[in-house]
Amino acid sequence: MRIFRKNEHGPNSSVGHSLESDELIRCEKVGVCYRTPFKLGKNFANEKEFWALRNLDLSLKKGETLGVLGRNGAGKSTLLRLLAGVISPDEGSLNKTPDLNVQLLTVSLGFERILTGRENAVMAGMLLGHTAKFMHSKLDEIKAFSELGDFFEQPVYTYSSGMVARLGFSIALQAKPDVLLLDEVLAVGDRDFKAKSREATRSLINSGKSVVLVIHDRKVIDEFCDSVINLQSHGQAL
Amino acid sequence: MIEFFQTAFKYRGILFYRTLASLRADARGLYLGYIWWFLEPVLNTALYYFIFAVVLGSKTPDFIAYLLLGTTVFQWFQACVMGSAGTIVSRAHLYRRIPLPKFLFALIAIFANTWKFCCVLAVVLIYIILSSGKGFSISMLWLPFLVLVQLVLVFGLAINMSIASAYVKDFRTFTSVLFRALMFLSGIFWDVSKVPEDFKWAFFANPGAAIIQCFRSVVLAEKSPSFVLLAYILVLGCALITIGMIWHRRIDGHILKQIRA
Repeated sequence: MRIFRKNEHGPNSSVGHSLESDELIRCEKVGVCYRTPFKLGKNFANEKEFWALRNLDLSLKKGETLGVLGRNGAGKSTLLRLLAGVISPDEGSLNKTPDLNVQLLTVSLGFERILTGRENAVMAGMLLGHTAKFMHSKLDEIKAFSELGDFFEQPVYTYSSGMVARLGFSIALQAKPDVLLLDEVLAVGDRDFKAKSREATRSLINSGKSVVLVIHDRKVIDEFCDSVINLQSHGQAL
Repeated sequence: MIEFFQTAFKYRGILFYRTLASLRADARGLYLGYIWWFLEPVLNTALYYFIFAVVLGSKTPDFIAYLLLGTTVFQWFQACVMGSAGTIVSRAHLYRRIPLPKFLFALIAIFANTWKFCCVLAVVLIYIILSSGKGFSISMLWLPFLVLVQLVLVFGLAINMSIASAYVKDFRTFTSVLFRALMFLSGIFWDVSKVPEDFKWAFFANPGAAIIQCFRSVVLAEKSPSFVLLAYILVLGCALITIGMIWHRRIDGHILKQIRA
Protein backbone atom coordinates (compact mmCIF):
# COMPACT_ATOMS: atom_id res chain seq x y z
CA MET A 1 0.00 0.00 0.00
CA ARG A 2 1.26 3.40 -0.96
CA ILE A 3 0.64 6.20 1.53
CA PHE A 4 0.68 9.74 0.22
CA ARG A 5 2.58 12.29 2.17
CA LYS A 6 2.91 15.97 1.85
CA ASN A 7 5.54 16.79 -0.76
CA GLU A 8 5.96 13.15 -1.55
CA HIS A 9 7.50 13.92 -4.90
CA GLY A 10 10.67 15.18 -3.27
CA PRO A 11 12.72 18.26 -4.04
CA ASN A 12 12.91 17.61 -7.78
CA SER A 13 9.21 17.89 -8.43
CA SER A 14 8.11 21.22 -9.71
CA VAL A 15 4.59 22.52 -9.35
CA GLY A 16 2.47 22.16 -12.45
CA HIS A 17 4.50 19.66 -14.40
CA SER A 18 2.56 17.49 -16.78
CA LEU A 19 1.02 14.11 -16.20
CA GLU A 20 2.99 10.91 -16.34
CA SER A 21 1.85 8.36 -18.88
CA ASP A 22 -0.33 6.25 -16.60
CA GLU A 23 -1.60 9.14 -14.55
CA LEU A 24 -5.18 10.32 -15.00
CA ILE A 25 -5.38 13.06 -12.42
CA ARG A 26 -2.71 14.96 -10.56
CA CYS A 27 -3.23 17.63 -7.92
CA GLU A 28 -0.36 19.73 -6.70
CA LYS A 29 -0.57 21.99 -3.67
CA VAL A 30 -4.27 22.32 -4.26
CA GLY A 31 -6.42 24.42 -1.98
CA VAL A 32 -10.15 25.12 -1.96
CA CYS A 33 -11.49 28.08 -0.06
CA TYR A 34 -15.07 28.79 0.97
CA ARG A 35 -15.87 32.43 1.53
CA THR A 36 -18.95 33.79 3.21
CA PRO A 37 -21.09 35.59 0.67
CA PHE A 38 -20.92 39.34 0.48
CA LYS A 39 -23.46 41.10 2.64
CA LEU A 40 -24.09 44.79 3.15
CA GLY A 41 -23.36 46.17 6.59
CA LYS A 42 -20.76 43.54 7.41
CA ASN A 43 -17.21 44.65 7.98
CA PHE A 44 -15.23 44.04 4.82
CA ALA A 45 -12.11 43.14 6.76
CA ASN A 46 -14.04 40.42 8.53
CA GLU A 47 -14.83 38.48 5.40
CA LYS A 48 -14.57 34.92 6.56
CA GLU A 49 -12.40 32.49 4.67
CA PHE A 50 -12.44 28.80 5.27
CA TRP A 51 -9.94 26.56 3.58
CA ALA A 52 -11.59 23.18 3.19
CA LEU A 53 -8.49 21.83 1.45
CA ARG A 54 -4.97 23.13 1.55
CA ASN A 55 -1.61 22.03 0.17
CA LEU A 56 -3.00 18.80 -1.13
CA ASP A 57 -0.89 16.59 -3.37
CA LEU A 58 -2.57 13.68 -5.01
CA SER A 59 -2.16 11.49 -8.03
CA LEU A 60 -4.51 8.93 -9.46
CA LYS A 61 -3.24 6.27 -11.83
CA LYS A 62 -5.12 4.18 -14.32
CA GLY A 63 -6.95 1.30 -12.65
CA GLU A 64 -6.01 2.43 -9.19
CA THR A 65 -8.39 2.67 -6.24
CA LEU A 66 -7.57 5.52 -3.93
CA GLY A 67 -9.14 5.59 -0.48
CA VAL A 68 -9.83 8.90 1.23
CA LEU A 69 -9.83 8.95 5.01
CA GLY A 70 -10.67 11.86 7.25
CA ARG A 71 -12.94 13.06 9.99
CA ASN A 72 -16.06 15.14 9.46
CA GLY A 73 -15.11 18.48 7.97
CA ALA A 74 -11.73 17.27 6.76
CA GLY A 75 -12.67 18.12 3.17
CA LYS A 76 -13.63 14.74 1.76
CA SER A 77 -16.73 15.92 -0.07
CA THR A 78 -14.88 18.99 -1.26
CA LEU A 79 -12.18 16.74 -2.69
CA LEU A 80 -14.77 14.67 -4.56
CA ARG A 81 -16.40 17.81 -5.98
CA LEU A 82 -13.01 19.09 -7.01
CA LEU A 83 -12.17 15.87 -8.83
CA ALA A 84 -15.63 15.74 -10.42
CA GLY A 85 -14.90 19.15 -11.93
CA VAL A 86 -17.82 20.80 -10.20
CA ILE A 87 -15.62 23.28 -8.37
CA SER A 88 -12.15 24.49 -9.25
CA PRO A 89 -9.19 24.99 -6.94
CA ASP A 90 -8.38 28.40 -5.50
CA GLU A 91 -4.67 27.65 -5.44
CA GLY A 92 -2.32 24.99 -6.77
CA SER A 93 -2.82 23.05 -9.96
CA LEU A 94 -5.16 20.29 -10.99
CA ASN A 95 -4.30 18.36 -14.14
CA LYS A 96 -6.52 15.83 -15.83
CA THR A 97 -5.99 13.89 -19.03
CA PRO A 98 -8.11 15.52 -21.72
CA ASP A 99 -11.69 14.28 -22.14
CA LEU A 100 -11.49 12.33 -18.93
CA ASN A 101 -14.97 11.36 -17.78
CA VAL A 102 -15.05 11.66 -14.00
CA GLN A 103 -18.32 10.93 -12.28
CA LEU A 104 -19.62 11.07 -8.78
CA LEU A 105 -21.80 8.07 -8.06
CA THR A 106 -24.81 9.36 -6.21
CA VAL A 107 -28.29 8.10 -5.49
CA SER A 108 -29.75 11.57 -5.37
CA LEU A 109 -30.11 12.68 -8.96
CA GLY A 110 -32.64 15.44 -8.47
CA PHE A 111 -35.89 13.73 -9.34
CA GLU A 112 -38.98 15.63 -10.41
CA ARG A 113 -41.36 14.26 -7.82
CA ILE A 114 -44.43 14.69 -9.96
CA LEU A 115 -43.06 12.61 -12.85
CA THR A 116 -42.90 8.83 -12.96
CA GLY A 117 -39.91 6.68 -12.15
CA ARG A 118 -39.57 5.86 -15.83
CA GLU A 119 -39.50 9.50 -16.91
CA ASN A 120 -37.07 10.40 -14.17
CA ALA A 121 -34.78 7.52 -15.09
CA VAL A 122 -34.39 8.87 -18.63
CA MET A 123 -33.76 12.43 -17.48
CA ALA A 124 -31.31 11.48 -14.75
CA GLY A 125 -29.42 9.21 -17.14
CA MET A 126 -29.10 12.02 -19.65
CA LEU A 127 -27.57 14.25 -16.99
CA LEU A 128 -24.98 11.52 -16.53
CA GLY A 129 -24.09 11.92 -20.19
CA HIS A 130 -26.13 9.18 -21.82
CA THR A 131 -28.37 9.64 -24.83
CA ALA A 132 -32.13 9.29 -24.53
CA LYS A 133 -31.95 6.27 -26.82
CA PHE A 134 -29.42 4.54 -24.57
CA MET A 135 -31.51 5.22 -21.48
CA HIS A 136 -34.65 3.87 -23.13
CA SER A 137 -32.81 0.66 -23.91
CA LYS A 138 -31.76 0.37 -20.28
CA LEU A 139 -35.15 1.07 -18.72
CA ASP A 140 -36.13 -2.58 -18.28
CA GLU A 141 -32.82 -3.28 -16.60
CA ILE A 142 -33.26 -0.33 -14.25
CA LYS A 143 -36.82 -1.32 -13.45
CA ALA A 144 -35.76 -4.88 -12.69
CA PHE A 145 -32.79 -3.92 -10.56
CA SER A 146 -34.70 -1.35 -8.54
CA GLU A 147 -37.45 -3.93 -7.81
CA LEU A 148 -39.99 -1.13 -8.01
CA GLY A 149 -42.49 -3.15 -10.04
CA ASP A 150 -45.59 -1.15 -10.86
CA PHE A 151 -44.32 1.82 -8.87
CA PHE A 152 -41.87 2.43 -11.73
CA GLU A 153 -44.81 3.89 -13.68
CA GLN A 154 -46.03 5.96 -10.71
CA PRO A 155 -45.00 9.51 -9.81
CA VAL A 156 -41.96 9.65 -7.55
CA TYR A 157 -43.91 11.48 -4.84
CA THR A 158 -45.74 8.22 -4.12
CA TYR A 159 -42.42 6.50 -3.29
CA SER A 160 -41.05 5.84 0.15
CA SER A 161 -37.57 7.27 0.76
CA GLY A 162 -36.09 3.80 0.41
CA MET A 163 -37.72 3.40 -2.99
CA VAL A 164 -36.34 6.74 -4.16
CA ALA A 165 -32.88 5.61 -3.12
CA ARG A 166 -33.35 2.28 -4.91
CA LEU A 167 -34.35 4.04 -8.12
CA GLY A 168 -31.43 6.46 -7.79
CA PHE A 169 -28.99 3.66 -7.23
CA SER A 170 -30.26 1.61 -10.18
CA ILE A 171 -29.83 4.61 -12.48
CA ALA A 172 -26.43 5.51 -11.08
CA LEU A 173 -25.22 1.98 -11.87
CA GLN A 174 -25.57 2.84 -15.57
CA ALA A 175 -22.80 5.40 -15.27
CA LYS A 176 -19.72 4.30 -17.16
CA PRO A 177 -17.08 6.87 -16.30
CA ASP A 178 -13.29 6.59 -16.63
CA VAL A 179 -12.92 7.62 -13.02
CA LEU A 180 -15.55 6.76 -10.46
CA LEU A 181 -15.94 8.90 -7.36
CA LEU A 182 -17.71 7.29 -4.43
CA ASP A 183 -18.75 8.56 -1.06
CA GLU A 184 -18.33 5.23 0.80
CA VAL A 185 -19.39 1.86 -0.52
CA LEU A 186 -22.98 2.66 -1.38
CA ALA A 187 -25.69 0.53 0.10
CA VAL A 188 -29.29 1.70 0.16
CA GLY A 189 -32.78 0.43 0.82
CA ASP A 190 -33.90 -2.38 3.09
CA ARG A 191 -31.71 -5.27 4.22
CA ASP A 192 -31.96 -7.34 1.05
CA PHE A 193 -31.47 -4.41 -1.25
CA LYS A 194 -28.55 -3.15 0.85
CA ALA A 195 -26.75 -6.44 0.33
CA LYS A 196 -27.52 -6.39 -3.37
CA SER A 197 -26.50 -2.76 -3.87
CA ARG A 198 -23.30 -3.22 -1.86
CA GLU A 199 -22.45 -6.18 -4.07
CA ALA A 200 -23.11 -4.12 -7.21
CA THR A 201 -20.95 -1.26 -5.94
CA ARG A 202 -18.17 -3.70 -5.11
CA SER A 203 -18.13 -5.20 -8.56
CA LEU A 204 -18.12 -1.68 -10.01
CA ILE A 205 -15.09 -0.77 -7.90
CA ASN A 206 -13.34 -4.00 -8.78
CA SER A 207 -14.07 -3.72 -12.49
CA GLY A 208 -10.63 -2.26 -13.16
CA LYS A 209 -11.70 1.37 -13.29
CA SER A 210 -9.92 4.12 -11.45
CA VAL A 211 -11.82 4.85 -8.27
CA VAL A 212 -11.64 7.47 -5.57
CA LEU A 213 -13.44 6.10 -2.55
CA VAL A 214 -14.26 8.00 0.61
CA ILE A 215 -13.90 5.57 3.48
CA HIS A 216 -15.95 5.73 6.64
CA ASP A 217 -15.31 2.15 7.61
CA ARG A 218 -11.61 1.30 7.83
CA LYS A 219 -12.34 -2.38 7.26
CA VAL A 220 -12.81 -1.78 3.55
CA ILE A 221 -9.30 -0.36 3.05
CA ASP A 222 -7.67 -3.73 2.58
CA GLU A 223 -10.49 -4.99 0.43
CA PHE A 224 -10.43 -2.21 -2.16
CA CYS A 225 -7.68 0.34 -1.85
CA ASP A 226 -4.32 0.43 -3.57
CA SER A 227 -3.42 3.62 -1.77
CA VAL A 228 -4.86 5.84 0.90
CA ILE A 229 -4.85 9.53 1.53
CA ASN A 230 -5.60 10.79 5.01
CA LEU A 231 -7.07 14.26 5.22
CA GLN A 232 -6.47 16.08 8.47
CA SER A 233 -8.73 18.88 9.56
CA HIS A 234 -8.54 21.79 7.14
CA GLY A 235 -7.73 19.41 4.39
CA GLN A 236 -4.00 18.99 4.72
CA ALA A 237 -2.91 15.61 3.61
CA LEU A 238 -0.90 13.58 6.05
CA MET B 1 -21.57 34.29 -27.91
CA ILE B 2 -20.78 31.39 -30.22
CA GLU B 3 -19.71 29.42 -27.17
CA PHE B 4 -23.19 29.88 -25.75
CA PHE B 5 -24.92 28.37 -28.76
CA GLN B 6 -22.37 25.55 -28.95
CA THR B 7 -23.03 24.66 -25.32
CA ALA B 8 -26.78 24.82 -25.82
CA PHE B 9 -26.43 22.55 -28.86
CA LYS B 10 -24.27 20.09 -26.94
CA TYR B 11 -26.96 19.72 -24.29
CA ARG B 12 -29.86 19.72 -26.77
CA GLY B 13 -31.03 16.26 -25.69
CA ILE B 14 -31.27 17.23 -22.05
CA LEU B 15 -32.82 20.58 -22.94
CA PHE B 16 -35.48 18.94 -25.07
CA TYR B 17 -36.36 16.23 -22.58
CA ARG B 18 -36.29 18.45 -19.54
CA THR B 19 -38.45 21.04 -21.28
CA LEU B 20 -41.06 18.42 -22.12
CA ALA B 21 -40.86 17.04 -18.61
CA SER B 22 -41.21 20.42 -16.98
CA LEU B 23 -44.28 21.21 -19.10
CA ARG B 24 -45.74 17.87 -18.15
CA ALA B 25 -44.89 18.34 -14.48
CA ASP B 26 -46.40 21.82 -14.61
CA ALA B 27 -49.67 20.54 -16.00
CA ARG B 28 -49.91 17.50 -13.74
CA GLY B 29 -49.39 19.54 -10.63
CA LEU B 30 -52.41 21.76 -11.22
CA TYR B 31 -56.04 20.81 -11.02
CA LEU B 32 -56.89 22.40 -14.38
CA GLY B 33 -53.59 21.43 -15.99
CA TYR B 34 -52.93 22.90 -19.42
CA ILE B 35 -56.15 24.92 -19.34
CA TRP B 36 -54.37 27.40 -17.10
CA TRP B 37 -52.06 28.40 -19.96
CA PHE B 38 -55.04 29.94 -21.70
CA LEU B 39 -57.09 30.90 -18.69
CA GLU B 40 -54.37 33.10 -17.21
CA PRO B 41 -54.08 35.58 -20.14
CA VAL B 42 -57.86 35.55 -20.59
CA LEU B 43 -58.41 36.45 -16.94
CA ASN B 44 -55.72 39.14 -17.11
CA THR B 45 -57.24 40.60 -20.24
CA ALA B 46 -60.71 40.55 -18.72
CA LEU B 47 -59.42 42.38 -15.66
CA TYR B 48 -57.61 45.05 -17.71
CA TYR B 49 -60.59 45.42 -20.01
CA PHE B 50 -62.91 45.95 -17.07
CA ILE B 51 -60.66 48.56 -15.44
CA PHE B 52 -59.51 50.46 -18.50
CA ALA B 53 -62.39 50.15 -20.97
CA VAL B 54 -65.43 49.85 -18.74
CA VAL B 55 -64.42 51.90 -15.71
CA LEU B 56 -61.98 54.40 -17.20
CA GLY B 57 -63.53 54.45 -20.67
CA SER B 58 -60.39 53.92 -22.76
CA LYS B 59 -61.04 54.40 -26.48
CA THR B 60 -58.15 52.37 -27.95
CA PRO B 61 -59.38 50.67 -31.14
CA ASP B 62 -59.49 46.84 -31.10
CA PHE B 63 -58.89 47.05 -27.39
CA ILE B 64 -59.37 43.35 -26.61
CA ALA B 65 -56.94 42.22 -29.29
CA TYR B 66 -54.57 44.98 -28.22
CA LEU B 67 -54.72 43.81 -24.59
CA LEU B 68 -54.47 40.11 -25.40
CA LEU B 69 -51.30 40.57 -27.44
CA GLY B 70 -49.74 42.85 -24.84
CA THR B 71 -50.42 40.59 -21.88
CA THR B 72 -49.35 37.34 -23.54
CA VAL B 73 -46.10 38.78 -24.90
CA PHE B 74 -45.23 40.50 -21.63
CA GLN B 75 -46.22 37.47 -19.58
CA TRP B 76 -43.83 35.37 -21.67
CA PHE B 77 -41.00 37.85 -21.26
CA GLN B 78 -41.49 38.07 -17.51
CA ALA B 79 -41.95 34.33 -16.96
CA CYS B 80 -38.72 33.55 -18.86
CA VAL B 81 -36.54 36.00 -16.98
CA MET B 82 -38.08 35.51 -13.54
CA GLY B 83 -38.27 31.75 -14.03
CA SER B 84 -34.56 31.50 -14.73
CA ALA B 85 -33.55 33.73 -11.82
CA GLY B 86 -33.51 31.17 -9.02
CA THR B 87 -32.39 28.14 -11.03
CA ILE B 88 -28.78 27.93 -9.85
CA VAL B 89 -29.79 27.87 -6.19
CA SER B 90 -32.80 25.60 -6.67
CA ARG B 91 -30.73 23.12 -8.70
CA ALA B 92 -27.60 23.44 -6.57
CA HIS B 93 -27.90 19.82 -5.45
CA LEU B 94 -27.55 18.70 -9.08
CA TYR B 95 -24.91 21.23 -10.06
CA ARG B 96 -22.86 20.00 -7.07
CA ARG B 97 -22.80 16.44 -8.38
CA ILE B 98 -22.50 16.79 -12.12
CA PRO B 99 -20.42 19.39 -13.95
CA LEU B 100 -23.01 21.25 -16.05
CA PRO B 101 -23.15 24.76 -17.45
CA LYS B 102 -24.84 26.80 -14.76
CA PHE B 103 -27.39 28.26 -17.16
CA LEU B 104 -28.76 24.86 -18.22
CA PHE B 105 -31.85 24.97 -16.05
CA ALA B 106 -32.43 28.62 -16.92
CA LEU B 107 -32.62 27.56 -20.58
CA ILE B 108 -35.08 24.82 -19.70
CA ALA B 109 -37.31 27.35 -17.94
CA ILE B 110 -37.10 29.59 -21.01
CA PHE B 111 -37.93 26.84 -23.49
CA ALA B 112 -40.86 25.65 -21.40
CA ASN B 113 -42.26 29.17 -21.18
CA THR B 114 -41.67 29.78 -24.86
CA TRP B 115 -43.55 26.65 -25.87
CA LYS B 116 -46.39 27.72 -23.61
CA PHE B 117 -46.33 31.18 -25.18
CA CYS B 118 -46.45 29.79 -28.71
CA CYS B 119 -49.54 27.72 -27.89
CA VAL B 120 -51.29 30.71 -26.33
CA LEU B 121 -50.22 32.99 -29.18
CA ALA B 122 -51.70 30.60 -31.72
CA VAL B 123 -55.06 30.76 -29.96
CA VAL B 124 -54.86 34.54 -29.63
CA LEU B 125 -54.10 34.82 -33.36
CA ILE B 126 -57.04 32.62 -34.27
CA TYR B 127 -59.28 34.81 -32.09
CA ILE B 128 -57.95 38.01 -33.66
CA ILE B 129 -58.28 36.69 -37.22
CA LEU B 130 -61.85 35.49 -36.62
CA SER B 131 -63.05 38.50 -34.67
CA SER B 132 -61.58 41.16 -36.97
CA GLY B 133 -62.89 39.47 -40.09
CA LYS B 134 -59.78 40.60 -41.97
CA GLY B 135 -58.40 37.12 -42.33
CA PHE B 136 -54.78 36.03 -42.25
CA SER B 137 -52.32 38.78 -42.98
CA ILE B 138 -49.01 38.10 -44.73
CA SER B 139 -47.21 40.27 -42.16
CA MET B 140 -47.90 37.58 -39.54
CA LEU B 141 -45.14 35.52 -41.17
CA TRP B 142 -42.81 37.78 -39.21
CA LEU B 143 -43.92 36.20 -35.95
CA PRO B 144 -41.44 33.28 -35.77
CA PHE B 145 -38.64 35.74 -36.44
CA LEU B 146 -39.86 38.03 -33.66
CA VAL B 147 -39.93 35.10 -31.25
CA LEU B 148 -36.32 34.21 -32.14
CA VAL B 149 -35.09 37.78 -31.70
CA GLN B 150 -36.80 38.04 -28.35
CA LEU B 151 -35.29 34.68 -27.33
CA VAL B 152 -31.78 36.04 -27.90
CA LEU B 153 -32.55 38.88 -25.49
CA VAL B 154 -34.12 36.54 -22.97
CA PHE B 155 -31.08 34.21 -23.09
CA GLY B 156 -28.80 37.14 -22.38
CA LEU B 157 -30.91 38.41 -19.50
CA ALA B 158 -31.36 34.93 -18.06
CA ILE B 159 -27.65 34.01 -17.89
CA ASN B 160 -26.84 37.22 -16.05
CA MET B 161 -29.93 37.10 -13.88
CA SER B 162 -29.39 33.53 -12.75
CA ILE B 163 -25.78 34.22 -11.73
CA ALA B 164 -26.59 37.55 -10.08
CA SER B 165 -29.48 36.14 -8.08
CA ALA B 166 -27.35 33.20 -6.95
CA TYR B 167 -24.82 35.59 -5.41
CA VAL B 168 -27.24 38.18 -4.12
CA LYS B 169 -30.60 36.70 -3.31
CA ASP B 170 -32.18 40.16 -2.94
CA PHE B 171 -31.79 40.54 -6.67
CA ARG B 172 -34.89 38.46 -7.26
CA THR B 173 -37.09 40.71 -5.18
CA PHE B 174 -35.63 43.69 -6.97
CA THR B 175 -36.37 42.15 -10.35
CA SER B 176 -39.97 41.41 -9.50
CA VAL B 177 -40.43 45.08 -8.59
CA LEU B 178 -38.63 46.05 -11.79
CA PHE B 179 -40.94 43.89 -13.87
CA ARG B 180 -43.99 45.38 -12.20
CA ALA B 181 -42.69 48.80 -13.23
CA LEU B 182 -41.94 47.56 -16.77
CA MET B 183 -45.48 46.22 -17.01
CA PHE B 184 -46.94 49.69 -16.47
CA LEU B 185 -44.33 51.22 -18.74
CA SER B 186 -44.75 48.76 -21.61
CA GLY B 187 -48.11 50.04 -22.78
CA ILE B 188 -49.94 46.79 -22.24
CA PHE B 189 -53.24 48.43 -21.33
CA TRP B 190 -52.91 51.97 -22.63
CA ASP B 191 -52.45 53.37 -26.10
CA VAL B 192 -48.76 53.57 -27.00
CA SER B 193 -49.43 56.21 -29.66
CA LYS B 194 -50.16 58.62 -26.81
CA VAL B 195 -46.49 58.65 -25.81
CA PRO B 196 -45.10 62.11 -26.73
CA GLU B 197 -42.72 62.02 -29.71
CA ASP B 198 -39.85 63.39 -27.61
CA PHE B 199 -40.04 60.50 -25.16
CA LYS B 200 -40.54 57.71 -27.69
CA TRP B 201 -36.88 56.67 -27.53
CA ALA B 202 -37.01 56.39 -23.73
CA PHE B 203 -40.26 54.45 -23.87
CA PHE B 204 -38.91 51.95 -26.41
CA ALA B 205 -35.60 51.59 -24.57
CA ASN B 206 -37.62 49.24 -22.40
CA PRO B 207 -37.22 45.97 -24.34
CA GLY B 208 -40.63 44.81 -23.12
CA ALA B 209 -42.29 47.79 -24.81
CA ALA B 210 -40.16 47.32 -27.92
CA ILE B 211 -41.08 43.68 -28.47
CA ILE B 212 -44.77 44.25 -27.73
CA GLN B 213 -44.75 47.06 -30.28
CA CYS B 214 -43.23 44.71 -32.89
CA PHE B 215 -45.86 42.06 -32.22
CA ARG B 216 -48.65 44.61 -32.48
CA SER B 217 -47.47 46.13 -35.73
CA VAL B 218 -47.20 42.68 -37.28
CA VAL B 219 -50.58 41.39 -36.08
CA LEU B 220 -52.81 44.43 -35.65
CA ALA B 221 -51.38 47.03 -38.02
CA GLU B 222 -50.46 44.35 -40.59
CA LYS B 223 -47.12 45.84 -41.52
CA SER B 224 -43.46 44.95 -41.05
CA PRO B 225 -42.03 45.46 -37.57
CA SER B 226 -39.76 48.40 -36.89
CA PHE B 227 -36.26 47.32 -37.88
CA VAL B 228 -34.72 49.82 -35.49
CA LEU B 229 -36.51 48.18 -32.57
CA LEU B 230 -35.65 44.68 -33.75
CA ALA B 231 -32.00 45.57 -34.23
CA TYR B 232 -31.98 47.17 -30.78
CA ILE B 233 -33.34 44.02 -29.12
CA LEU B 234 -30.95 41.81 -31.06
CA VAL B 235 -27.86 43.89 -30.26
CA LEU B 236 -28.85 44.17 -26.60
CA GLY B 237 -29.39 40.41 -26.46
CA CYS B 238 -26.05 39.57 -28.11
CA ALA B 239 -24.21 41.95 -25.78
CA LEU B 240 -25.88 40.41 -22.73
CA ILE B 241 -25.07 36.87 -23.88
CA THR B 242 -21.42 37.82 -24.40
CA ILE B 243 -21.19 39.47 -20.98
CA GLY B 244 -23.04 36.56 -19.40
CA MET B 245 -20.71 33.97 -20.94
CA ILE B 246 -17.60 35.83 -19.79
CA TRP B 247 -19.09 36.08 -16.31
CA HIS B 248 -20.11 32.43 -16.42
CA ARG B 249 -16.59 31.34 -17.32
CA ARG B 250 -15.24 33.26 -14.34
CA ILE B 251 -17.67 31.88 -11.77
CA ASP B 252 -18.32 28.37 -13.11
CA GLY B 253 -15.91 26.57 -10.78
CA HIS B 254 -16.46 28.84 -7.82
CA ILE B 255 -20.13 29.77 -7.52
CA LEU B 256 -21.12 26.57 -5.72
CA LYS B 257 -18.69 27.33 -2.91
CA GLN B 258 -20.69 30.40 -2.04
CA ILE B 259 -24.22 29.11 -2.27
CA ARG B 260 -25.82 28.22 1.01
CA ALA B 261 -28.57 25.88 -0.01
